[in-house]
Amino acid sequence: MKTRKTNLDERQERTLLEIESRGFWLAFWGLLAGMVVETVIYGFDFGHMAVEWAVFMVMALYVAASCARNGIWDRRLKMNAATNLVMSLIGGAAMAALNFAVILARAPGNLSLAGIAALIAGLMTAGLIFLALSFAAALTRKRQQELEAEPEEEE
Amino acid sequence: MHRNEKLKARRKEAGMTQTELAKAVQVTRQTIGLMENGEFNPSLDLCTRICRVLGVTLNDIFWEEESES
Repeated sequence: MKTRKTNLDERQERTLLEIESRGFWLAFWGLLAGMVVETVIYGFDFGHMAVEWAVFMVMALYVAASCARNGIWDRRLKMNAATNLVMSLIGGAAMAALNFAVILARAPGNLSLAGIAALIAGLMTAGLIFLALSFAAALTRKRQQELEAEPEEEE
Repeated sequence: MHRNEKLKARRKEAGMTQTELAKAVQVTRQTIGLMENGEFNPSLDLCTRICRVLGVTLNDIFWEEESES
């Protein structure tokens, strides 16, 4: 009996890809949210969230490396320093808010300590994100140039 | 899928490089290259845009006779 390569037609294949994509991002952001909630409630304890962190990082690195290899940046955001800076500041602000909440939960009323720690964590995070985004953008730009180069036979 | 030599031939007849055709139909050069190599199955919308730019019909580029497939 002749077997089919797939049980799905074109439309079903596309629908399945969309479902898988939504599932991936649900897991990605769910893991991040879970780690944030755990940190706020129980404090930062890497030992308790090492597995979640490892899975999250594998997912993040897989997406980042695959996109860079294919010269893909983002659907809407432009690949430039201004965008990287804005994204870095958003990441830094989120990390500052998380630190502020965690420290206040451990030492209620100690606003100055929480504020200083949040500021330092936020600035360091923003700096690291900016470096990571700049590195990823440089790799992606280089790959785009390779992929978009006209084949020799076409010249 | 197999190579789309008709697309490549029509593009060359129009005096366009892959990059120029890609720009005209608002895709990347790689997409045109993959279509010509038979490694990417384009949407009907993209096929139509390419035909409009090259001044040909869908039949001219994308129709395959039984013996060709």
